[in-house]
Amino acid sequence: MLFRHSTGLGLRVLCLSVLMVGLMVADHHYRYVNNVRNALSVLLIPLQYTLNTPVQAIDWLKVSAATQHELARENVQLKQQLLLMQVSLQQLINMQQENSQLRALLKSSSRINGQFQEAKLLAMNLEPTSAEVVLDKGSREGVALGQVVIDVSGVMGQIIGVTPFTSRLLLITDPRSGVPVQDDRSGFQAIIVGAGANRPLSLIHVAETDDIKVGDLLVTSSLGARYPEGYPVGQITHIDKMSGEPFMNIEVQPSALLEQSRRVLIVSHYLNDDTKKMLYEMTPVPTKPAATSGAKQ
Amino acid sequence: MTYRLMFIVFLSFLLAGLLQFLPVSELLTIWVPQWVALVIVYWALVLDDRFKLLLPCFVGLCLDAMNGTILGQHALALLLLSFIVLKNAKQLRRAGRIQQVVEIGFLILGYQFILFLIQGVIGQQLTDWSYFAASLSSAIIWPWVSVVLDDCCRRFVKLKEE
Repeated sequence: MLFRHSTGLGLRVLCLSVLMVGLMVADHHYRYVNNVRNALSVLLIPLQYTLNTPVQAIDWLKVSAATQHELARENVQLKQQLLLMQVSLQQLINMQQENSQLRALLKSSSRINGQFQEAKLLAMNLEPTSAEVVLDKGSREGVALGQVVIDVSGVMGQIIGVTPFTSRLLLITDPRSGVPVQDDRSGFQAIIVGAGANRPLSLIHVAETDDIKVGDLLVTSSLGARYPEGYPVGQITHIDKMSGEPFMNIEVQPSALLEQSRRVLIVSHYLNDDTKKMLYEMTPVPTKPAATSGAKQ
Repeated sequence: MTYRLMFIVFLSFLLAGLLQFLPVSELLTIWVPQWVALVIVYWALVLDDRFKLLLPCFVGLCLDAMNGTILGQHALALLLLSFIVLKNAKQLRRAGRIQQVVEIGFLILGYQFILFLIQGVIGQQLTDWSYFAASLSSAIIWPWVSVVLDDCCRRFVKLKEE
């Protein structure tokens, strides 16, 4: 027992409260207590997988209740889609070659396509402030801290915690998240930060004279070398020019279906060795590059 | 605490956690009761002197790890909640059913308010007031929680003899 029974209840509560406040400060300002979080997360793995079973059961029921006719029709549709995709892929390969040739002429580094790993979200009802989700792949499947997660329509976020069987994804809507982006139309570069779960993202530090319009698509710029280049992050929905303020208020609608996507892709190994080496030298704490530059960029 | 009682306590929190994090449709999410907080209130009421303050701390830390909130947030809120319950255990136990429901409702509201304050301090303020709807549903569900847990206690552990 930590405290003797003779000491007053109030005193014990006070001591533990101070301890908890200390823990919160340590967790908020420094990242010292990540080990505690990881240990607790490992304990919670069975609970998280159990919570997912009803969803899995419904999925299974859907498949088993479908008639052969429906499945055949779906198969035909998927084959048609595949054909269309393959045709557009032919053009893409051609364009990629052209692109790398042009980049070679400009003496800029070539783009490297990442390796993708499929993962599913574990369904659970988290608090409304939470802009985090849990994925069903962990370090056993090669998921590492800082890897980027995308869905079919855009960037979802990055991995901030890994256990052997699960990993934790920080969505781009979290206030701790920042994504370096560029305007697809004008090439203007800025940073998108989250404003909380279920709220539009905001593009920060953009002056009135910058080339930005409502409807512009913002794609990752790969500055900061965390997010791979060229994936859509969001579309500008609203620009608010405030008189007297140096920067504008810009709202961005995320491209990724953050609320609906259940199948996602984890991107890995998209950096070439030179960039990795450069990052390694730039990072102040060389032993743990991922942990220090982890959530904030 | 006997091992049997410890097992029942553990099981009750496991069940509460499952119910609290069970994925539900979007319309229902704000109405999901604070099951874990209710179970903490119940054990603080029943165990009284034997209630260990490390219990709400540990359970709270697990909630934090699950939700991805800063470590200590739920732990502090649950700790203060159990403190208030322990201080007023006698009055709460003697209160009639309706009165108890109202009091539990306010306790859970206080618990949620502490969470809300901490969120505000770290700069992730909630703007949606429907967040507090959960304290209403928690109060309504309280009689059933207490009856079910009372029944479990009566059947598997004899609290009175210890």
